[in-house]
Amino acid sequence: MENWLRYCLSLIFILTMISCIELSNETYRNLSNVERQKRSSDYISLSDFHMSGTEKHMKALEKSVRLDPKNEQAWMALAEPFLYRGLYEEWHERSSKVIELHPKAWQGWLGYQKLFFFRDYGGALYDLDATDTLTIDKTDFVQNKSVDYLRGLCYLGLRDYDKATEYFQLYLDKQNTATGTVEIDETAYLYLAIIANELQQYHKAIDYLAATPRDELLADHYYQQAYAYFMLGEIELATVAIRRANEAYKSDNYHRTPFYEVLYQIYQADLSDLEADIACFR
Amino acid sequence: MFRFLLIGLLLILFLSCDYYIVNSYKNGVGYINPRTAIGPKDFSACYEDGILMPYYSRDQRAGFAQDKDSLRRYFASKFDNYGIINESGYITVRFIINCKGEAGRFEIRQVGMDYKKKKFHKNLVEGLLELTQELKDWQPLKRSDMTYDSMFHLTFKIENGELVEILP
Repeated sequence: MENWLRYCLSLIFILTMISCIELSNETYRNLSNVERQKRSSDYISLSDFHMSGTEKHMKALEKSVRLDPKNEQAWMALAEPFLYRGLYEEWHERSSKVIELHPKAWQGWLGYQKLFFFRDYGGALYDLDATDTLTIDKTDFVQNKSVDYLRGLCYLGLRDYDKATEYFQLYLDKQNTATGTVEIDETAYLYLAIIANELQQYHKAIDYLAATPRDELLADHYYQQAYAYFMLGEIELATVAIRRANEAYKSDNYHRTPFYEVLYQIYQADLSDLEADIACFR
Repeated sequence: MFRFLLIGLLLILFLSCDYYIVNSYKNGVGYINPRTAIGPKDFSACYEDGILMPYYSRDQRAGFAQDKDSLRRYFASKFDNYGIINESGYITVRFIINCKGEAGRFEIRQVGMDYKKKKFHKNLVEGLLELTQELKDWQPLKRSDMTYDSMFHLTFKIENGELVEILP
């Protein structure tokens, strides 16, 4: 019994020492700060070889933050798999760390995620306003979307149509000046039309849709156009528009993302219902 | 007594160097343990030893087979807040949709409007879980002609006891 206990204790002691030695080697205690930061970035690149959220992906990112606990990119990459899997407490712990480390770079991202994954319009506005304040001399873009455009969506979600219109228009004016119409997000015109329809300003909605600088519009555009024409009693024009909407929808040409439902997303049922209403008046 | 203290101390040291021993990502982020999951125990994934992918990973994402609007109408017509009007936050029902389009292995997560852990009233949570479990029209994750098991979730945004959004 005594010998058995002695062997067990020795085994535990040896295993403990091995684990701690491995850990001390793995954290590269002898590296300089610059070398650690470089190695930390290398582990982020390594994580990209594995599917997000898998064991190897996450372990590479964990190594990255052990090497450089201030690597906010690694923390953000650690947070995202939790967001996409509905594990919001864990997402929030890690993304709060990111904001602490570098609010200027990441607060806009947090606003984006709150808007689309949580429909937390107030929370998102707070972050988007903050990011604009932190970088006062430029317009920030998050996931290729202007902070002004995103604020327009937040106000639309809050049903503050005046502010929403103001921000979508601001986005369009800035984008037109900076790069012309080629890089404009056509859904800004769509949302302006949606607001106009909500306010029963049907002629304005039609004007916004006509101003969209694209040869082919999304099904969403044609749907809003059909609705506006229908409300104005222009049944023939509404019929043409709803037919175009159906064609675009069947060709998968409508506003959507794989991760979340967009604001005012349309479905086949919406098109069918409007088509039926229009048909009643033909 | 001293021996037990020593064993305890060594175990603590052992586990604190846990990087190679306690692996919290062993089954990937979001793994739902079949032993602790809610729902029929006879539910099985098609590929129990495979990686469970999230719902958006392939050409045709997993989810409710009818559109989101139908889902919204279903919950709007059946949701009951049992008179609870002072609760706000997010209740998430996570589950697996297997390659045959069957849903099972449910688990619940709850956070407040500050995204920190929260415990909603039992009736609200169980009500939403029950309504989710009653749904049968799920489509599996698909690429070309292959279907896969996947993780899916429905997040219910509650504001003052009212169901205001179904996400994502």
